[in-house]
Amino acid sequence: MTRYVAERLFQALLTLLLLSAIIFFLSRVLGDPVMFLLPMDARQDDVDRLREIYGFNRPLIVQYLDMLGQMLQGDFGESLRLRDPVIDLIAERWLASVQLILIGMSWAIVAALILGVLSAVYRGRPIDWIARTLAVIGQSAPSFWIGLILIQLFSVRLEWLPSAGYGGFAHMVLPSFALGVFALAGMTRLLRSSMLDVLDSDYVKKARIMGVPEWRVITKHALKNAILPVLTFAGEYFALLVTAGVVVETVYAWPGMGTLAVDAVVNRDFPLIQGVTTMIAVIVMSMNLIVDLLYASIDPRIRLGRR
Amino acid sequence: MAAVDKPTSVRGPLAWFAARRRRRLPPLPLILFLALIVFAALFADLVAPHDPNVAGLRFRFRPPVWEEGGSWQFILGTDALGRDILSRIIHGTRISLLVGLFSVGVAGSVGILLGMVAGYMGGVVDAVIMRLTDATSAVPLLLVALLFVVTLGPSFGNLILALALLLWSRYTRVVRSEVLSLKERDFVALARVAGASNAWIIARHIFPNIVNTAMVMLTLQLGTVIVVEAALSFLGAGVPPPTPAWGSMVADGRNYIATRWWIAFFPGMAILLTVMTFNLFGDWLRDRLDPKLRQL
Repeated sequence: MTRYVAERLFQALLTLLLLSAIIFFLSRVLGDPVMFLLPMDARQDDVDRLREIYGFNRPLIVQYLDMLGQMLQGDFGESLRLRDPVIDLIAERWLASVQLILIGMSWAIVAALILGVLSAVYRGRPIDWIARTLAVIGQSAPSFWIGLILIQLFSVRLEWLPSAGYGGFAHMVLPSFALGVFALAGMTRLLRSSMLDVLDSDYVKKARIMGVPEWRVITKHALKNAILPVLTFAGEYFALLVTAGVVVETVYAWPGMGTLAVDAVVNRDFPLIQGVTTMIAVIVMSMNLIVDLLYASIDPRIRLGRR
Repeated sequence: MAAVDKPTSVRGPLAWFAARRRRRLPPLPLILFLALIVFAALFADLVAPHDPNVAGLRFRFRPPVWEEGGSWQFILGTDALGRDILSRIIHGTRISLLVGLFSVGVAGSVGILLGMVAGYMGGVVDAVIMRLTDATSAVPLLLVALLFVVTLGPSFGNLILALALLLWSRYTRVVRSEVLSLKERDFVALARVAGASNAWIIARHIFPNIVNTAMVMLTLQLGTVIVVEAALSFLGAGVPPPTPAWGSMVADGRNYIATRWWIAFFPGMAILLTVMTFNLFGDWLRDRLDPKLRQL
């Protein structure tokens, strides 16, 4: 197990290295950061001086290695536009994003468990029909649009919930709902089909024949096995939620890393872009690792088989 | 083989199901929706009641026909510049479909090719390609695409390039795992004994066996790409402005969501229905082409 974790951590480091290279060369090759800092009619020697101050006049590969070295020491540089250290800006914002994503993911998992099980157990009945319709719609509707519709309904018409901003629990309801719908839809579908497979299996039939009460058959014998395929995709859904979070945060003016990142990209604030993407990738990868470890601890075949 | 394929006649209550199975057609509503989407994209100029880009400030903020103050002239209402929303949605179909088809096409070809090479060759080639897919799957997709489009400048080509760069890895992973089991099969070993080159084996023996999986993935991803494209245009990094795109139309309506809900609502509905159609079609295709089902 230790070896497995060590291997995964090494892979994660490799991935981060690759990601940092992709972002660095993409942003530097595609646009000259100095040009966005100075007015259009800046004199040539001003441009040169600024390049020198930021070190943009050195060869790209030297700049890249220099940046890597600093990142390894925990120094992500300074935002070009806001003049604050990138690490401080991220520290201010990351918690709001993680809150939103975790709440969105949690309610989606709980609702998917209920809907998925009900729709498999009552296959072909109205509840199954409702769950499947919801799942199909949820998988197809863009989250930013759901966000706007929710604002129109619950903030404007009913005046129940605030339409934007950060605050107490009430501010969290709409954005986390808009964010979770997609994951809910996907996981409900997955759970429904794996539940149907398991309910049809021999050991479930045997448990029924032996007189185990139906609710125990469902919760203990069936669900425990049906949940494995869903768990495989949980990491992937988490990554998708992080991505969707960027847009949902924009809709709700949520002070998280998504809005920070979009502003950074629009203003071509390269150190900030580099810092935020790295941070998001770290969050996604640690979540994937947690899911895989959880999976391994539930399913002994994986723990013993994969080395 | 011919005897097996010959449709056997079934009588009684099962006849209808047998007939349906032989016809191999998706459900009728799905066909209708697909036809509608393709038709709107192909003949947008003929179908749209108004020019999608002509603003008429006299007509701004007209509500849809069934609301108070609406008229049949603008069935789904008009936006802040007085442009007909229905016409813009119809023209937007073109952009969504084109961006979707091209980026899925590019991502699919690159991803499938790399997947086949990685799975078949193994070793260092496999390790390098797989590390690359790992890296792209941890990347915050939307941000990198946004960065790409913003720095390179918003254009049709850049948009497709950005989307393709982000979506190829999924094909690679699925195709690779299929190839891993395929290459252990006898027909591959026999081809090798017969002296076939690696390229020949991949093209003639591996590829035909993954076509079905690839088709299903391509269809299912078409929906995903349309949503991602819409999200990019929503953030202002889609196809440049005068061209109507669904995502940017929703963004246009964002500031008026409190009072003029229709500006953002209908373009989003168009995204929802289109993506739903492709998703359902992909599901149908998967059930149809799944090897286990095909043996029946």
